[in-house]
Amino acid sequence: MQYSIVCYSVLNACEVASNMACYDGIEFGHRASTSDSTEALYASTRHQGFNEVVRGRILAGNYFLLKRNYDKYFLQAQRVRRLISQDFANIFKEGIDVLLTPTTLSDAMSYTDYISEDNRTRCEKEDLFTQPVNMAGLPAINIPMEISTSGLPVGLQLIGQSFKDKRLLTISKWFEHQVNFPYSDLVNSIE
Amino acid sequence: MYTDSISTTNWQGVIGLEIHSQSLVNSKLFSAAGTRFGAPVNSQVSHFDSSLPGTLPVINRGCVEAAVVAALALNCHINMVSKFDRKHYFYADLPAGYQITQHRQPIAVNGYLKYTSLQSAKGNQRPVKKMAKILQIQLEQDSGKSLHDDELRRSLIDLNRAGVGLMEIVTAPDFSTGTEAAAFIKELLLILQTIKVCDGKMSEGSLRVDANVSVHHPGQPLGVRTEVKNLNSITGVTKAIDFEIKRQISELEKGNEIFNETKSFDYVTGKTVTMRDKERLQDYRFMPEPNLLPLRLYTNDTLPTGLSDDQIVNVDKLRDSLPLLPAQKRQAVQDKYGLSYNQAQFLVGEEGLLEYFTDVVEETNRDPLLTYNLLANQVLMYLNREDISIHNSPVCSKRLKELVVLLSHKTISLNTAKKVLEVMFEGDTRLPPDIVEHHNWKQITDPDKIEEYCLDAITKNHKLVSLYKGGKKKVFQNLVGQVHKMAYGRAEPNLVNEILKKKLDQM
Repeated sequence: MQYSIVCYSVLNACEVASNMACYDGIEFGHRASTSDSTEALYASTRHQGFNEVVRGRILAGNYFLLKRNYDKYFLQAQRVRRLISQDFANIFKEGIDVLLTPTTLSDAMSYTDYISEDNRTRCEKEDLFTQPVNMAGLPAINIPMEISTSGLPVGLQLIGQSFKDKRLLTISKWFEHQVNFPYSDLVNSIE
Repeated sequence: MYTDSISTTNWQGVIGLEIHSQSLVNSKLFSAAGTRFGAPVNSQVSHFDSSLPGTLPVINRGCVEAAVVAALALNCHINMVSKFDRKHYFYADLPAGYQITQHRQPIAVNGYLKYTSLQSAKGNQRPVKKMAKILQIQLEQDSGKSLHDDELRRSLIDLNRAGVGLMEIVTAPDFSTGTEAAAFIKELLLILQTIKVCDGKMSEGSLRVDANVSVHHPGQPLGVRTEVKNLNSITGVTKAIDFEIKRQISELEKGNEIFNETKSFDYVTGKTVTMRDKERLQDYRFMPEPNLLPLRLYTNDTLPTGLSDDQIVNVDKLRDSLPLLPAQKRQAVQDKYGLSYNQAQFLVGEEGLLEYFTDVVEETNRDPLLTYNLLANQVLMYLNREDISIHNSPVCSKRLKELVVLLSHKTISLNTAKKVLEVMFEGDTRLPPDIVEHHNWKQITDPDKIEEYCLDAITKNHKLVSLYKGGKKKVFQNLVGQVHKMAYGRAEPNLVNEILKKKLDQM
């Protein structure tokens, strides 16, 4: 699991760098008012349109995809990814239908606490339980279980086998029924 | 080999080609937008083509089959599993910021193409058999088009072409001159048109050529290469490559370096020009395309169960459907009709010409060479003059057949045949025998009649006769001409020569 988040940071950045390449302001969306050159237009548009976190991921992703770095970062992350995927497969092969894990490290923290660390460090910590599932390509779901001592909801994660989405959802529904979580009746409370 | 007038050392050009061929398919490689040439600006652009977020690529079966058929015709090894990659760079005509291509594992590798190049030696041109290796064939997207309006300092983008399916055919550096490269392209075009995967209209952008050019002394390591991009005519290929070779030789002889740069060819000045915005070496940051599964092809032995027919591309089935390729057609023509390579190439080289020729020859069962000469010299001359294709020829194969019969029976002379053709091209729709009858153009083969014309000509041309008798043998032709004039061109030429000479010698 500790390797998974590193692996995720690399692959996430690469995919962001690639997928965000379409935001050039030419066909749709925000376009800066620069008229010096097409390149200047791209640079301004994308600087204005993306925040720091996205820009950081794009720069990192492009770095990882450079020819000289491709094997060291991208391919290596893909190799680790396969190992993570196999880890899960091995567990499920032993006869396990569904895995139960926490979803987050704690209940929701305050905004002040959240921004006390930069986004990348924050994600590295908080996404511990959820991103291995993305690496392995497995279906997973969060079910609210209980109210914490601070009065905030706490959920648990159920992870199913590859392509066994229906079974996972069936089990989740049973869980939901069992814990009888006190959902707020938003509609009526407004009225 | 270039033995330049500047130096005495032998330089050799080394050229490799990257050919981009637009697949003749109704929709684009990954979307259902149309591919018609000349459609109104930005009228053939789907959401996917303009890279709107949330759209996904769906592969076009026709493009895959086109690539397989081309790979088979070019003797390639077909990869039953091939993969797609993203090639990243920023340009206004590339909406997604990347091109989907096949960098790591293309659909076909290791093929070859045999072709004939005309080499000049001592003023003669002789055909030389050559072969070029094909390194790989890959499927990829075409980009859109951009027009730069320098005056108003803006760029105009047309995305109709963005996403159209291309086949990139990469050759080994197996060419040494522009002529060889051009000969190769010509044969490749013919093949692609014959198997109907490309319409070959280079002027419309259906086929574009990039040439990688370098020079070296034979036996020495290869030189630094430059890339000349977007050549869109056969003559352009020849000229651009020859110019670039000469330029590099000249620079090297001066002691200068060749830089690995990208160039375009200026058709007006006939020179290659460095492309300003491509000076830096690009890192394309290739990444596997995550939205596409590996492309799987099947054979008769590996057909999967559970998939419907329209989800399967069967290489064996496509191989069976291959038409005869130009090389096979040429050989068949040479074997069956005894024509030369060049004559066979002429017939095979233009669409519809071979069919027309065989129509005439099969029926008449006459000397094919006679038909060939009439077709190649007379008929094509008229068609080219009026810029009509053989399909639209006013003289159909049926009428030409009748003309050939008249000629081979010696009912008419070659000169008369030409006149009949002219009359038919001008709009006379009658059959040749009727035309001949009408104009009284039947050939005169009666020796007595011809003798009459000869004596007549002799009587009326004292001066020429005395010159001839005096030793000026050349004027015989003039006298022959006079005889034909009197016979209104209907006299059989061999008989005229024979009889006139006899009469003159008797005097």
